[in-house]
Amino acid sequence: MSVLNIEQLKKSFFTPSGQKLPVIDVPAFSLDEGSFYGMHGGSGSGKTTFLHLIAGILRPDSGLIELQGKDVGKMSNSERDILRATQIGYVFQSFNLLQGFTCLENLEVAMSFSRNFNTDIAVELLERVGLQDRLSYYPHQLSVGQQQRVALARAMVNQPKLILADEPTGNLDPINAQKAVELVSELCEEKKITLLVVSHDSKIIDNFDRKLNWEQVNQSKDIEADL
Amino acid sequence: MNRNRSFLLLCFRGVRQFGFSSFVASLTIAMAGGLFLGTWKIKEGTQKAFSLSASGFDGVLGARGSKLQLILNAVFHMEASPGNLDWKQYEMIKKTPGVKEAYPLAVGDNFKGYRLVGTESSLFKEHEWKEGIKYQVQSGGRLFSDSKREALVGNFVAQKLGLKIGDLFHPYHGLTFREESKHKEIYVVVGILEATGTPADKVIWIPIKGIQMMEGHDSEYASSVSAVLVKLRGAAGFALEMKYNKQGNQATFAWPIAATLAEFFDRLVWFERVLEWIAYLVGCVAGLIVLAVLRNSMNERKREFAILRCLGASRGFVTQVVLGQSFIISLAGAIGSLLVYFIMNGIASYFIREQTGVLLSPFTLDLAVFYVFGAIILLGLASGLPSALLAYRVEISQNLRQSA
Repeated sequence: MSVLNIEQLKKSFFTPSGQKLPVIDVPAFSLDEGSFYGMHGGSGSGKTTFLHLIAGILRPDSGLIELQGKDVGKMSNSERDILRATQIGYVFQSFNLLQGFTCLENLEVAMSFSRNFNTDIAVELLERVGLQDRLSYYPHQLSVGQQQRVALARAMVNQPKLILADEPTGNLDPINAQKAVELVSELCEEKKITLLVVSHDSKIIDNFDRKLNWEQVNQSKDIEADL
Repeated sequence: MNRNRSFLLLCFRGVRQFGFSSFVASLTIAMAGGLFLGTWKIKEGTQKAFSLSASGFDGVLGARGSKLQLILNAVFHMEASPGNLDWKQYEMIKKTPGVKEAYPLAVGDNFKGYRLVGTESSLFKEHEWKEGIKYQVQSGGRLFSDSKREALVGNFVAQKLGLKIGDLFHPYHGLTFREESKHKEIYVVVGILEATGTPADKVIWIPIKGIQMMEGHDSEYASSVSAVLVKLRGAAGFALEMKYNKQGNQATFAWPIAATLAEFFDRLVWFERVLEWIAYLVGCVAGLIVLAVLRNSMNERKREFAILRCLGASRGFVTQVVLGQSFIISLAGAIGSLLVYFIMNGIASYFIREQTGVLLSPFTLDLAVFYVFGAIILLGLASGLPSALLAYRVEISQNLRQSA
């Protein structure tokens, strides 16, 4: 059963000179529930834009993005906010932790936007990623690897259906990168969450049984850089 | 953590993150609000207190001269006496139809800087300084005898000088205290007045003959008075004003006291206006500082808001966070302005009490204060609106990408 189903998805941007630049052209794409996907693609090829479209951060020009049977493209702003709070966990390359908040607060703030506030779940997740003694640490007091683990825990905290990981290992050394991939896979397996990791690093993608090539998924060949 | 706690946390962390600028913004609001409230309420309070402190009299008869000087001298025991009146003038006005009460006053001496005011003991027996309220002497004391060297001490003076019943003192010549001008006479304190919050508290009352006959005084003193305090019935004031001010040239009848005082306060309007405009200007500066603080913080918080939006926060939520931040800054400013107002009022009240005996209520909060309090918060929120709008429009995709 598909958790995500995409058909004829198109997205263009306008260049500063006013020229229309097609960025995304995905005729068909789907993710099976509970499966893990690694999608390889070059830098600046529109992968982040694709993830933003799935997460409802950007609206498509046309096409269908069906998440859990609902068309994300036709959702109202508030529905898309709720979608991000409850259905999707997002992991960034630069972690994007809230700097003025402790590890635990980072998770709690994320929980506050869903309807399931439960500090115990947040604590449990931080324990699961090995940060049980860092609950009240601020991001700047943590190592890069630890920050990424907080970001992973935060993405999981609302028990989403889908985790979108955008270059999650881009800021990590190879050892930590490998650990992060193993950890996110373990967690998703435990929680039965579908995982889509996109990366320009083919070694990271090799960790996943289901491998995708962004250049094959996206039919648009015009772009040279992420917009 | 529920959404409300998350909201508060984000607001307070925002303020903390830009702590110094937020503090300066709150301080400026406090100064502006305090200055505005202070000038407004001190003026209002002073005017009201002075009007109420006419001690139940309608007019003052005194030597030819300024009405205001006459009132300040006879009612508020300030300034020098414009001159003396013959005792007969006192007797004449006392017998005038329409004059309900008349009490002679004589001044010219002091004890340690506090005026000795000579009058008749009937002032304390018969006169109501406030409707239905007569002067009260503290327990154990009594009024002075009109023919003895006895003193009834105003409450404020008793506190300041530590005078008690049975204490003896020498009067000093003049209205300002000079060691070398001590009179030979010795007066005994026979009573202390209960506090009235009026100028009566800051003088030492003695029999009028005491001043008139004081050793070293000019012999003319013996048959003259400095002023006569008058309480009228009906519309006698018009007739007396006509008689003394328009037709006569011997004396001045300062009436009505409240109107004369109002004229005096009107003369100070320009000063009040200047302070008011300063307060407005400081208020504008405060608003601009709040605007600048939030605008600067927005440049750095765009990423934070984009992250929040990505986590599921609505546009409304991040807008409210910025408004919440400006609310905290302006609330702190509004509370600070109350403190500044109380401090200003406290200091002003102290000096007014010291100088006039008039008691202001420096720590009263009326509806107008709350209106100003609300206006300060509204000003702060208005200053936060442009930044809140920016937060509303934060483009998630762009700001997350910029941070990557």
